[in-house]
Amino acid sequence: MTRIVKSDERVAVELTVNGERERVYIEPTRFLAEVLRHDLALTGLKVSCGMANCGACTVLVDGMPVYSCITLALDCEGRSITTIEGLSQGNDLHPVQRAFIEHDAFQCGFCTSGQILSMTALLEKNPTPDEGELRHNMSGNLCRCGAYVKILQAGMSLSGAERGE
Amino acid sequence: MNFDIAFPQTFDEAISANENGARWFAGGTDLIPLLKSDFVHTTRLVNLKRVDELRGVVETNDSVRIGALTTLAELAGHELIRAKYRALAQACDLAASPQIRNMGTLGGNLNQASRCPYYRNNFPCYLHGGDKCFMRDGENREAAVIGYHDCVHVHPSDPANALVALDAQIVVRGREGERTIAAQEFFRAPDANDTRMNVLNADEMITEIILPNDSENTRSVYVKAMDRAVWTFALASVAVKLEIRERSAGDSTRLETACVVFGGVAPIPYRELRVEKMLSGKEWNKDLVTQGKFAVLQDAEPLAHNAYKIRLARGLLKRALRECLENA
Repeated sequence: MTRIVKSDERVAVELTVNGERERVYIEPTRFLAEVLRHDLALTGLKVSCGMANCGACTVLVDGMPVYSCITLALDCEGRSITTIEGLSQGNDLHPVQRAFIEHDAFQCGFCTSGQILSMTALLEKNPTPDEGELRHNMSGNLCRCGAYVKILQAGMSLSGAERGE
Repeated sequence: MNFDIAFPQTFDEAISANENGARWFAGGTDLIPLLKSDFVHTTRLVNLKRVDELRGVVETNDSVRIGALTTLAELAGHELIRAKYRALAQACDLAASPQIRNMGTLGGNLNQASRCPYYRNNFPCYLHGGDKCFMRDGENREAAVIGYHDCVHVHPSDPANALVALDAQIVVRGREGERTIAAQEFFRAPDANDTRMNVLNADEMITEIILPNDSENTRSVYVKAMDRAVWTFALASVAVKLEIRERSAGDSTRLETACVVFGGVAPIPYRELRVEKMLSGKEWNKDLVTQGKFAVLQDAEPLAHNAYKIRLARGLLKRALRECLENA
């Protein structure tokens, strides 16, 4: 039987967010970005364009960067979501977060959580990207302050290729 | 936005869930922004992601079958696709952004809406049911130069060009059952009376894409020119498939057949038969690439600001051939 969720129906959805099981009650038209920010108070993720152009809302779903502003939350049932809040261990920052600080890889910071998550996903998959691979994999995250050079430096400082590994 | 979501698990369930005004929903990377923009409306999304029959890349004796839910990222990184159908892997890798490639499916990519800026800004053009094309006499730098009717937009898909060059078949399914359409016959140029960009009926979905099992002498490539290096649509692009072999021992290597398909220049992937004919049977070496006369898009009727696309297309073809030569 085809399950149908009506537009005004609020249903329980289980998500794994930063390793924790969370249950939210949502309508079918709710987007993941809103649910994470409003229902779960994870405001590290930002929404800028809301149209899958800019990448500020990037989160990882099962380890893959996606635009949460166009991801239906209902469609994430049972999937594992990582937001910027899930990277650090207490006060101990994630290496990508540290590299962004060390390289001054932002100005206003609005795009930063998305940038860091895209870079984290790449380095998980490929710990030794060259600059071309880094650029290619970061291309869905725009930075209107123009911190790209510093972002690339931060990324290359973490690449095993750069360190001769 | 005010829609139900249906979660079918089989083809048949999906087709019966697709009632009046419903839309298929897979990656959603095009449809969701269109719904948010409030000029596409629907009462129901039929979410295809749990229909397992739409998944997988399977090699058979004489073909490779790609489930329509396969994402662009999966195809770009797929070992078999990269090895045998390089143009498709490259086209998927050059499309959109990493996040979109992770979400967007091949089926959805082939059925995406126009990227014409007038359409996307809700001008009352043909595609919106109006009686005018605003791009034709407006900002037409990105418009079609050939193969257009009333609407001068260009087809936005990168993989579409590769699929036409690779002689793919597109399998679709609807209330009346299944039909298989050659990729070349699938796309259409919108006109005032029928604004569809392909031959799909409203009740039909793409279920799989079938690629022929080509000989080892076949190679393909996709090259794309953009306003910036990444994350935008093609100003022009080309997908090329070549069959290269020695006719007999000791004979020089010849380009047996060539298929040349331009993107970004027409409302459909534009197959350039004259150039294909010119290339076929030629000796395959550097001279052909450097000295060959490529009269591409000879029948073009460029608009005020887009004649540059003809020279751009010629340059891309040369680059594509050179890449095939260097990756021998």
